[in-house]
Amino acid sequence: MAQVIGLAVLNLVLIVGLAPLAEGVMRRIRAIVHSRKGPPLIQPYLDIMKLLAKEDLVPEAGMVWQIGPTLCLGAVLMAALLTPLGTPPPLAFAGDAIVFIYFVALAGVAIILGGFASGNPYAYVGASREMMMIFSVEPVVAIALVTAAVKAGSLSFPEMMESYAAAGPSVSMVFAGVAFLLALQAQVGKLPFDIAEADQEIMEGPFIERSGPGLALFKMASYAKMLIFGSILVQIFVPLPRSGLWPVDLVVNFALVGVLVVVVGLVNAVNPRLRIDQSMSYFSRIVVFVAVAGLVFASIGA
Amino acid sequence: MTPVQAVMHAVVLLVLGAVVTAVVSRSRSTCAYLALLFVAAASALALWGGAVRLLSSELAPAPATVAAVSGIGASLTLAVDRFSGFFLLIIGVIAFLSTLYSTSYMRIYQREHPARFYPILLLFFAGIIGVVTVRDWFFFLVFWEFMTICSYFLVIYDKENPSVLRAGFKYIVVTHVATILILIAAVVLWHTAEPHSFSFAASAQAMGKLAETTPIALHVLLALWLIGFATKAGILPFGDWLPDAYPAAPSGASAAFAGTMTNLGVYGLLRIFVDLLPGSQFSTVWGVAIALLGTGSIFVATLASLSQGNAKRLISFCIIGQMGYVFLAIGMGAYFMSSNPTLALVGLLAGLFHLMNGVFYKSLLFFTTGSLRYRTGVGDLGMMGGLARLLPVTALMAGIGALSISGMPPFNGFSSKWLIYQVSVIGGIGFPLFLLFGLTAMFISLVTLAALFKYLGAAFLGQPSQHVAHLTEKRNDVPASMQVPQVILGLCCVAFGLFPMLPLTAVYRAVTPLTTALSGTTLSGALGTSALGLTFTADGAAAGVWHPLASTVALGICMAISYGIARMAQAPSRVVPVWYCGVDLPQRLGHFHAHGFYEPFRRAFERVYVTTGTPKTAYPTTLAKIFDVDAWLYGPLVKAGSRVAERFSRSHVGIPQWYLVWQVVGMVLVLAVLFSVMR
Repeated sequence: MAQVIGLAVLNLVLIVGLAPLAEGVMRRIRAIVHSRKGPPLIQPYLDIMKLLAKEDLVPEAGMVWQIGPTLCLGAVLMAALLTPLGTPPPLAFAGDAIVFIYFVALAGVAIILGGFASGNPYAYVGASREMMMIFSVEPVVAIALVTAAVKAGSLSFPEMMESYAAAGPSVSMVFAGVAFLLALQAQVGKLPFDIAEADQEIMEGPFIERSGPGLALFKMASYAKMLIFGSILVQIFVPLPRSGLWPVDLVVNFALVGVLVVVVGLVNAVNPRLRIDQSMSYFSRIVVFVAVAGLVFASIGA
Repeated sequence: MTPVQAVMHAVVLLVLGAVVTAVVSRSRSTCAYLALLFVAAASALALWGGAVRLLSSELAPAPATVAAVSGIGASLTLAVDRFSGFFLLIIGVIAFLSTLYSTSYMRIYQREHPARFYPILLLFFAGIIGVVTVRDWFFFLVFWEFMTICSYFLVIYDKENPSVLRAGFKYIVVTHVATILILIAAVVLWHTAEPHSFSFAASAQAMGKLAETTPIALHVLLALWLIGFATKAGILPFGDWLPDAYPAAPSGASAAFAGTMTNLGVYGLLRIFVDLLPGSQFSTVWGVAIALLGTGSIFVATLASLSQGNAKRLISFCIIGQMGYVFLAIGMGAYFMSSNPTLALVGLLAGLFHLMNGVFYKSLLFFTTGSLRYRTGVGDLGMMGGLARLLPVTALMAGIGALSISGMPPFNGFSSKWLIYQVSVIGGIGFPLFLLFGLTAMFISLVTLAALFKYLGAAFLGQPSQHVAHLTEKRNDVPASMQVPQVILGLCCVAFGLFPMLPLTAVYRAVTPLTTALSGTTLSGALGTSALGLTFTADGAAAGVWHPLASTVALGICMAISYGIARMAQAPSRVVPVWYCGVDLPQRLGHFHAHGFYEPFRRAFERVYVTTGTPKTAYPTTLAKIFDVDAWLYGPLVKAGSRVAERFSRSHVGIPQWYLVWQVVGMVLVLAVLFSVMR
């Protein structure tokens, strides 16, 4: 029990604490690509602190509106508790890969319902797009994780990690990992897939009416997703040798996630935004050619 | 009182109630409250009978024969085994709640007579109770037909509306084709049985005999049964009547249909494929077929629901999708019956648990659409908006129902879908088709979510449309008799999500006595020993875990942390008008029309479910020509007659000299004839 609580606190502190830093790195990369100097690395921390202190403007005094940001960050933190960070996931006894997928979807639910509740037509457009992005991306994530589950014969994250470390690299897992990597950009809402927010056309979409602490929570949730999905990619789809010492595994994990942050940041800096239909056809191709291919290889044992 | 006696009393009470309510139907409220009284008593009896049987250790109760038609080997034999008991529990709950709901809801039909609703509703429940307790195909079909006819009259209750009559016609034609298929199968088995008998026990023996002598005949029979029961369950492509018929019926009746009648398709399916059919290669083959049908329905119906503009129609399509999940799980269970008892058990458990959860959220969602109609008078999503201000409790319950039906943790739909995914992934290792089915089911649960978001977003949230704007100014939720059923079902959705082990134990007790294939399995062996969490164990290794209570508590703590972060700086808050980018827009222009939801996605999938109108039966053209006497007899006769008359009329020129000439000529002619004759 003490171990579970200790691990849980560690996961939450690391995810909440490091997520804005990852965002800061991405902003700096964007600035470098643009030949700008860019903000300091700690700028996202300052943004969040500023937002937390600012006045909260409420267009609709409904319950759904009020609960939106809390539920969104809560669900993301819950997903963080199911995520292995080199250490075993603290809530491994309470949920497996499917539960993880659905808690991530629950964060999307909070964004969408919060958008609807604002009563702003731009929020409706954004929420509708957010739903379509979930349609496009979640199947890729689900197929990749199911591929890992088929290889391991189990849906729980620790079993998947152990089994992959024991069995060594395989064709199916490479396909699944590539599919997951290709979906990562959209999971964290970065260009070319920040279609739901699209600040230049629909003004942050579902967040258009948000200000102050509510907006801060949504931003924290969005930053945290980068670390969560990065860690899942590193832990489940990369056959890492385990040192046996958890601090070492933890550092290795975050070093590799850092590499992913740089990659995502670069892609974010050099791409224009896609339209929603383009992104849907892009992901349908990934589903068919990469993710399903991985699954087929896994079912024939490769 | 034994469970069988309780059930018989319930049926008698319902029939008696139908007579009494028909007699007093002059007064609307007396009729409604008397109907409620009778249904309450019958429900209590059904619940008591079901609960006693589920809790007792007696596995195979002796059937009680009430009447016999000895000439054809049919007998009215009743028995309540645990599986029937499980369905009696569901029927008892839904019958009472939907009647309670109807007592207020039916006030919106001021022009229709209540005698066309309550007596028929009571008879409908009597038919359903009969279907799940009878042990003889002949009387099974009698009750089945009785239930179908009653439901037809409930569907066409709003008879002034031509689209309702069309839906009712489609419903009765399609379901009767299905009944005929079941009848054919039953008669063939009757013929095979020695001596000829309609009883279930004789059918089981006859099936065993056919399996050895003519397996192809048994395959055909199983196909007939599958199509027949799938039609009743609303599985596509056979269940195409459902999205027309459910929206047509009054909401209380729609909820009763969704909660009881469609599930009887699953009841029949399990009776045939698990209870009567011995676990063999037949269940393996037909398990795949059932799972395939289920997955097809999940995919097609749920995608079709995205494009619906009417609230009840949207939910009807989602219901077909949910029935698809049940079929998928049962199909997988049947597939593994002869090879892997653990997976078979979990598959069947998942299917029946999902069915049970479906009863709650499907009925709940129909109740909420009825409440919207009751207060606003509209059913089109595009004409609603912002109604959470008018109906806050209904909106909350619709939210719970939406999250349950789309399988969001920690609501009940997630627990049962989680089991279905486990079986499909772990079972899919040996049979990869199930992986595909399971992934489709996972993807479509998100589409269900999107469809229900369309419902929530267009009806309850956002800005009101001009049709309902005047209503949203003050809170005016529906009366208590409509509120209570909604709240009870909503609480059931939450409770069964948080404590899935309790309903799963009931389902386990209901399903294991059906077949010997499951006799070596235990609930704790498949789903862990914990009373709160589920640990799915396949082949001795833990394959997946879901601990709803721990997860919910953890989610609560995470949300508390988030709330703490938000309140850290004690930021003040202020109510402001909605910001339309600086433009001063009137409220009605801020209304986002429901038809705009998910446009690109819908366009990508619009070919999946093509709505064709009801096919017009073409009248044979030759027959038309023969019956068209005007065209070939009277028409030409009249034409010829008038032509002759015209010729004659030309001779009437009005000049006297000409008439004298005619007379002279005529006289000469007459004389000439006379002379020639007399000579």
